[in-house]
Amino acid sequence: MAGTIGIVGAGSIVERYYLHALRQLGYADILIYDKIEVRSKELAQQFGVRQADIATIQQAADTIIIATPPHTHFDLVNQLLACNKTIICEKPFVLSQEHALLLNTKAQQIDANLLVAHIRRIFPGIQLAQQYIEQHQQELGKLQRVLLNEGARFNYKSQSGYVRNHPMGGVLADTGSHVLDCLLYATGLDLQPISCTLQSVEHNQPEPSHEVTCAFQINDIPVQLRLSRYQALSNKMTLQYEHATIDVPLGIKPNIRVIANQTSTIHSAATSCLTYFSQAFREELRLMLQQPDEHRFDAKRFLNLSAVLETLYKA
Amino acid sequence: MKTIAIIGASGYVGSHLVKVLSQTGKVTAINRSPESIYKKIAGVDYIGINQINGQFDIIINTSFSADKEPQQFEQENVAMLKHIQQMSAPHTHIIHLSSLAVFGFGLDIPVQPVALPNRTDYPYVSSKLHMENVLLEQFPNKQLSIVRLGNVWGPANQSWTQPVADALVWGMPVLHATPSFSNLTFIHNITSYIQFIIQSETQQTFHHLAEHNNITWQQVITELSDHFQYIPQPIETVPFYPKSLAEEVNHAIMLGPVKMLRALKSGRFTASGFPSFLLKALVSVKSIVAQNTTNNPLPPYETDPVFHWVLSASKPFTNCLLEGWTPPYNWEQTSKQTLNWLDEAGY
Repeated sequence: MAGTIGIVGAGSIVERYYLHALRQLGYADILIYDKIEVRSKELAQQFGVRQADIATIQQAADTIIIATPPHTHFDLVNQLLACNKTIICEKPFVLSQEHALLLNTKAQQIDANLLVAHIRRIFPGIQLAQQYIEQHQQELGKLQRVLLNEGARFNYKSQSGYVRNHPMGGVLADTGSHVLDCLLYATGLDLQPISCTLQSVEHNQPEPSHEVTCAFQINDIPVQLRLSRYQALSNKMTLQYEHATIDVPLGIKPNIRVIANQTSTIHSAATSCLTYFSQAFREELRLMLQQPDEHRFDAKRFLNLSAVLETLYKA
Repeated sequence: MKTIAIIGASGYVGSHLVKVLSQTGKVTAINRSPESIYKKIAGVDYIGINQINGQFDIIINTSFSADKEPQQFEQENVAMLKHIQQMSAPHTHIIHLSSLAVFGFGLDIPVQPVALPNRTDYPYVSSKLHMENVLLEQFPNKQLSIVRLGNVWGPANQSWTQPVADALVWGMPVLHATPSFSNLTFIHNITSYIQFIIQSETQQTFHHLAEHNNITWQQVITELSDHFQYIPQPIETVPFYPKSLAEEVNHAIMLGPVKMLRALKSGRFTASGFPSFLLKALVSVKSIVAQNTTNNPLPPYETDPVFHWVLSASKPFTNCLLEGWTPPYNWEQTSKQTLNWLDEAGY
């Protein structure tokens, strides 16, 4: 495949997904940089790609994937955005609405493509929910309440240790950003102006915190969010509409449950990425690389997420 | 106060043991990487496996080399044995937590409280069996207790409780037509039994713990589905469970070339010896397929076959326990705690 890909960051996600997918898609010219040089060297050798510095990546790469800890995203995207380039930023983009706006505006001004890889948008249950809600808006009525629960015994060891050491390494920016993005994407709230008001928030410890419970409102919709790195929770999003309740899996289950008129109905996605996640990831990466315009990961669709995360973080 | 080392302290059983045993003993919680333990208990030392220094009165091994390729588990087990040897003195009591899976996921090997020879099986099974034998070869019976656990159940359990609840919530097949043995053991009964072993004067090498083995999956699932008010979906076809290499290969051949290679790579009798040249061939085929397909639809959802084999178990995992121990939690209490957790967890 033609084109040079630059990767900034040599953490687990790059090793487990991006490099495998790029190789399978046939990209031959791949540059990789990490501030921990030994790490980028290790991956360069393992996958037969080239180690490079940031300046070389900036100059030579047509597409740059930024897969570094969240607190570095704004500076790196800002530095690397350039005319005719595509930048793919790993989640959670940036944790301030102002920064999200600045980067989007800059991308538009210089005709660059800016994407945010909130990969759960491709999960079959999330896609099914998004389509169902879009198609049944009138029958569903108004969204009245949202419950979000996600937790698991977390034993992830990041290469840089940011999940333990940096204020933005907590569960809120990490899996919490995925959960909030699933809500905004499935309900279409990522595409319309919103306001976000915090009501209460509890952390198990100062950031980076590993358990968070909070209540807030998006527009006038009450949302309860519970996240844990300590214990398993239901990993479920419950959307209570005026005339129906929809349960949506936050993981990779392919079904949703719609409860209306005292009847509970399961709707199933035609496909699954439970067993085939790497294949699903690769296909989405292909689309990001080859058709970045109007992609569902367009950074313009993450302004609201940044605003919600900023509100929750300010507390 | 006894010194207790718990290896695999971030796991479900390991973390519960740390909590309970730290109330009466001096506990050192050991993990491959101490940075991967997020919830720590005051008074407990948390260290990495390579930081072990000193010997202990009791060593409890709950670890399993889960992230390694099937071909690597033997060396991982031997490496773990060396760590355990380094931590043990002649008086040390080693309690190794194993699994009913050593009798096969389909419990097709006769269930007896005896040593089993190493055999080719699914990598998880072979690895569990191999670790038992590695310990049996190195430690005298008076020093070693091997506790084969039934299917572990309890609040926030990600092995069985959560998957069964998920299957109900998301309308996936979960209920076998004929009564099947759950072979469950409740987490708080496990910690109680381990405490009992530690305090007991009687030494016994093999223990089988599945105090709720007489509860059927049908009862468990009915209780949960009544609580949720969901209708459990039937398991219409139990996935193929190979009893021999010939059966497995015959079945794989019928799947076509790519699926056949994948099936053999994770097969019961073929995974451990899957040749590297075939693995490379599989990767190459997948790469070629990947490069020549655009928007290729993903295949339909596939349930993990182990899940359905266990939910349709026709054989009980019979208990073999020290005399004098009574499970502190009967089924009613077990069920109540589980349902409470499901509510708290947002199910």
